[in-house]
Amino acid sequence: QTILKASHQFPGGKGDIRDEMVQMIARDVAAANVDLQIQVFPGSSLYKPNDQWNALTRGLLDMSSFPLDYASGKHPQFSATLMPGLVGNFDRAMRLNDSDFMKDIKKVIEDAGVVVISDAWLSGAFASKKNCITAPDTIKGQVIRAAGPAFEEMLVAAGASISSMPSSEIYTGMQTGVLDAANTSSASFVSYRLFEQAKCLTAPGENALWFMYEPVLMSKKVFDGLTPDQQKAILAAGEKAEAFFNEEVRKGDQKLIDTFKQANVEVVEMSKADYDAWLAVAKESSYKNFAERVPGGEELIKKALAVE
Amino acid sequence: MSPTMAGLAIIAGLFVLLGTGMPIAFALGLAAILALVMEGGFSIFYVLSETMFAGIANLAYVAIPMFVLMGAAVASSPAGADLYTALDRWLNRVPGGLVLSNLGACAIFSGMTGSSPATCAAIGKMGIPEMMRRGYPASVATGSIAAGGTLGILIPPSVTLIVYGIATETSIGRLFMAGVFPGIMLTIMFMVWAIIDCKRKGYEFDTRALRFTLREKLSGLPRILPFLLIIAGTLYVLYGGIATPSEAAGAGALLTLLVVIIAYRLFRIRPVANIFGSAMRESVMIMMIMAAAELFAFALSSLFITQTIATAIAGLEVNRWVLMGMINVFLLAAGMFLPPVAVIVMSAPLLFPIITQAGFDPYWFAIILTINMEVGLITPPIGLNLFVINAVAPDVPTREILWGSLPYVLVMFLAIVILCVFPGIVTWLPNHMMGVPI
Amino acid sequence: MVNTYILVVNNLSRALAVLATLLLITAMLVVCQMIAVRYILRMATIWQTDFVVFTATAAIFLGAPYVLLKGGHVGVDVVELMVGEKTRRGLRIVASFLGLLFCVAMLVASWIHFHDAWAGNWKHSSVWAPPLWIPLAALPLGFGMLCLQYIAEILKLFVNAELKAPAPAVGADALGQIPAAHTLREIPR
Ligand code: NA
Ligand code: NA
Repeated sequence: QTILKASHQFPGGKGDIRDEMVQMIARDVAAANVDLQIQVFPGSSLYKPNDQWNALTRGLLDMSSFPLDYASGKHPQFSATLMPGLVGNFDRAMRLNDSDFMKDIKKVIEDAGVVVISDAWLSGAFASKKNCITAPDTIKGQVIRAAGPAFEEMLVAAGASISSMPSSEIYTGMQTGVLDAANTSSASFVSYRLFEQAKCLTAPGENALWFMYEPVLMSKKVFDGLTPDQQKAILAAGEKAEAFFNEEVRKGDQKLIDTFKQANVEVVEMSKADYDAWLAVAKESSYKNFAERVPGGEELIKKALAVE
Repeated sequence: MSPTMAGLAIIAGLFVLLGTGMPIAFALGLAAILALVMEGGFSIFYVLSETMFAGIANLAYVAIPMFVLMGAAVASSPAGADLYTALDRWLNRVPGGLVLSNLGACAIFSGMTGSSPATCAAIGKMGIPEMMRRGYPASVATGSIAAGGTLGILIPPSVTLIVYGIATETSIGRLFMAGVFPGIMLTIMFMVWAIIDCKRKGYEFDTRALRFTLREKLSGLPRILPFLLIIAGTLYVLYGGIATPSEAAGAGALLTLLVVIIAYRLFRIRPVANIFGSAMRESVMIMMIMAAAELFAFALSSLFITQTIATAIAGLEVNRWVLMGMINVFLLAAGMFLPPVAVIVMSAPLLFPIITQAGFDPYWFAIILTINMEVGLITPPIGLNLFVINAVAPDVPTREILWGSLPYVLVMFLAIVILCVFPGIVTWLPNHMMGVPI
Repeated sequence: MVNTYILVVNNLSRALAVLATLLLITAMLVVCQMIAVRYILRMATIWQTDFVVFTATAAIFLGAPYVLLKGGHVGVDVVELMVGEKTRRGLRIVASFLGLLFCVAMLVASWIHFHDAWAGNWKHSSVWAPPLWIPLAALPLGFGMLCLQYIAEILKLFVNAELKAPAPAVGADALGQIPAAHTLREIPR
C-alpha cells in the first residue's frame, strides 16, 4: 500500500472547507480500494505554509491545499492569482477556471513539477472600525492589514497605510487601535470574531475585490508514479471535492454576513461603480507593477480581464 | 517500523546525544536529521535548511532578541542594584525582608524582560551576595533568586508566551494579559512562603534592627523611576494602539537602552557594546534551540509520531482533569530536560488541539504550561536559572541551590492547582479588556 | 601551525559576531522607524517588516560560531559530572565530533538551499520582494564557520591534553556584564 502525505496550514477537523476538501479526497481515495492511503497533516503540522511549494516540486510532499500566491517569489506569474478585482464573483471564478488565463497559470504550475487536483477560489472581505470601505477614497488615512502584496500596493496607492501581521493578531490590532481596518478571507473574519471590533463590513457580493486561488495540488513526480487506477481515483476525488467547495464557499459568505449582522455590524457591498474605481487604481498600481515585473504579465492580466 | 517504535527510537537517540554534553540545539538537529535520512533518504536535505530558517524567520520572533536586549541593558547597569536597595529600605523589618526585596525586584524586572535567565542575573548579582553578607543561608539566598527569576516568563513580556502564540495562532497581546494576575499571584505566594519560612527558622539579623527614616525610604524611590518609566512606556506602546507586540519589543528595547544610558551616564562605547554583545549571545542560544526544535518537530511529524500520540491521547476515555494532570506530568518531565522554547515548539502543536477539544481555554492553558516551564528552569539537568546562579555565586554548591528552590517548586505546583480551581484568575483580565475569545 | 589556525578561526568568529550584533541593532532601529512612520507620519511601510525579519534571522546564524567559541550553546552536563577526568575528556571529543557532524550536514543542506535561491532568482513574496539569497547566505556562512570553529575546539582539546575541569569563566565582571548561561563554561560542546 502506498501512503501519501497531504499538508496544509488550515485548522483540522473544525469545518474549514479547505481542510474538508483534503479530508474528503483522503476518504474517497481510501474507499476506492486502490491500495492508496493519504495521511493528512493539518494546521502546518508538517510543513510551514510557504515551505510546501518546494517540498511539492521535490516530491517530498505529495499533496497540499496551497494558496498559490505563496510561491509567487519563485514564479512571479502566480501573483495574478491574488490580484485585486481580477475575479469579481463566484460565477465568474468558475468561468475563469476554464479560461486561457488559467491555462497559462497551470502551465507554469506543471512546468515546476506540480499538478492541480481541484480548483478553488476563496472569497474575502474588508472591515473597518472607522467608516465603510466602498469607493477607493474611503480607505484614505486608514491603517489596514491587507492579505497579499498586490492588495497592499493597490491600497497604498489609494492612500492607506499598511501594517503587516498574521491574521491571528488582527483582533488585538483592531482593538488596541494599531489597525483601523482589515482585509482577509471570509472564513477568517468569522473565526477570529472580528465582528466584535468592526463597525462596517464590506461583504464579497457581486463585486468582490478579493479572491485567492487555493487549489489542491499534487507533486507531479508522485502523481506520475502512481498506477492508472490510483490516478483515476485521485482525479475523481478531486473533482468531487471541487464541487463540494464551490457549494460550501457560497454558504460561507452567507454565514459571514449573518454573523456580522447579528453582531449589529453594518454590512455593505461594493457597487459596480466602486469596483470599477478600484480597478482603475489597481491598473495604475498592482497591475502596472505586475506587468513590469513579470515577463508576459500584461498579457496574463488581459486574458483574465477578457473573461466574461 | 510503527510510529510508536520510531518515536521511542528517536527520543532515545536524542537522549544519547544529549548525554554526551553536546549543545541541545545541535543534538535536537542531529537526531532529527538521522531519523529523516533513515526514513526517506538524502533527498530530505532539500528541505532541512528551509525548515530551520522559516522556523525562526517571523516578525513575532524578532521580539525575542528585543526583550532579551531590554533585560541585558538593565542588568548591565547599576539599575538592578538601585531597585533592590530601594525595596530593601521598605522591607528590611519584615521577617525575611531581604528575600521579599529579591522577589519583588524580580517581579518588577520581569515586566521589562521576556527572559528568565536575564531576570535571575540582574537581581541575583546584587541580591545573593548581599543576603549572604547579612547571614542568610546560601540555600535561602540562591533558591529565592532562582525561583524569583522564573517570573520573567510569566509576567509579560514573555519569550515563551510569544512562542506559544505563534505555534498555536493565538493572540500574543492577549496571552501577555493572561499572565498578569497569575504572575502577581505567584509573586505573592512566593513572598508568603518566604515570610513563613524565615519566621519558622527564626532568621533574625542585626540588620533588622536597622531603621531607615521615612526620608531615607522616600529618597530611594526616585531610583525606581526609570524602571516604572520603561514598563509604562512599553505597556503604552503595546496596548495604546501604537504597535503590535513584536514591534513594541523593539521600541521597548530602544527606550530601555536610552533610559539606562542617560540615567547612568554610560557614555562610553565599551559598556554599551557589552550590553549588545551579551544580548546577542543569549538570543543566539535561544533561537538556535528554537530553529533546531523545528527540525525535530518536523521529524516527529514526518514519521507520523506526533499524530499517533495525539490520537492516542485524544482517544483516552478519561475525565478532562485526569487528562490535564497527565499533560502536566508530561510537561514537567519535558521541562526537566529541555529549555522552555524547545518544549513549546515541539509540544504546542500536539497538545493544542487536544486541549481545546477537551474544552480548556487556550489562554488559560498557556499560563499553566508557562508555570510548568518555570519549574523546568530550576530543576536539573537543564535549568537555565541554575546555570546563571552558578555564575553569579560560584561558591555555592548546586545541591544548596536546589535545596533552596525546592519549596518554591512546591509553591508553583500549588499555583497550578489554584489556577485549575479558579481559572478566572487567568481569563478575567483578557476577557474584561478584550472580550471573550473564540 | 595549529595555534595559528585556532587564532584565525577565533577571530573570524568574532568578526561574524560583530556583524550579527550590528544586524540586531539595525533590526531594533528599523522596528522603531517603522512604528514612527506608520503611527506618527501615517505613511505606508513597505520594506521594513521583511528587512527586520531577515536581518534578525541572519544575525542568529551568523552569531552562532562565536557563541560556540564562548561555550554558550547550553548542553546537559549530568553525565559529564558523574564520570572521571579521563572519560570526561573522551566524552567531550565525542560530543565535539557529533556537533561537527550536525554542522557539516547543515552546511550541505543550507548550501543547496542558498544555491537554489540564487540560481532560481527566488524572491520573498511581498511588495518589497527582496531576493532570498541575501538572507539565506547567512546559513551556509554560519554553518561553515561553525564547522571551522568546531575543528578549532577539537584541536584545542588535543593540544591542551592536560585540560583541567574548567573554572566557571565569568561572573559579573568589572563592567557588570550580564552573566548569562552562555558565559559559564569555556569548553567546546
Ligand atoms: Na517578563
Ligand atoms: Na530543568
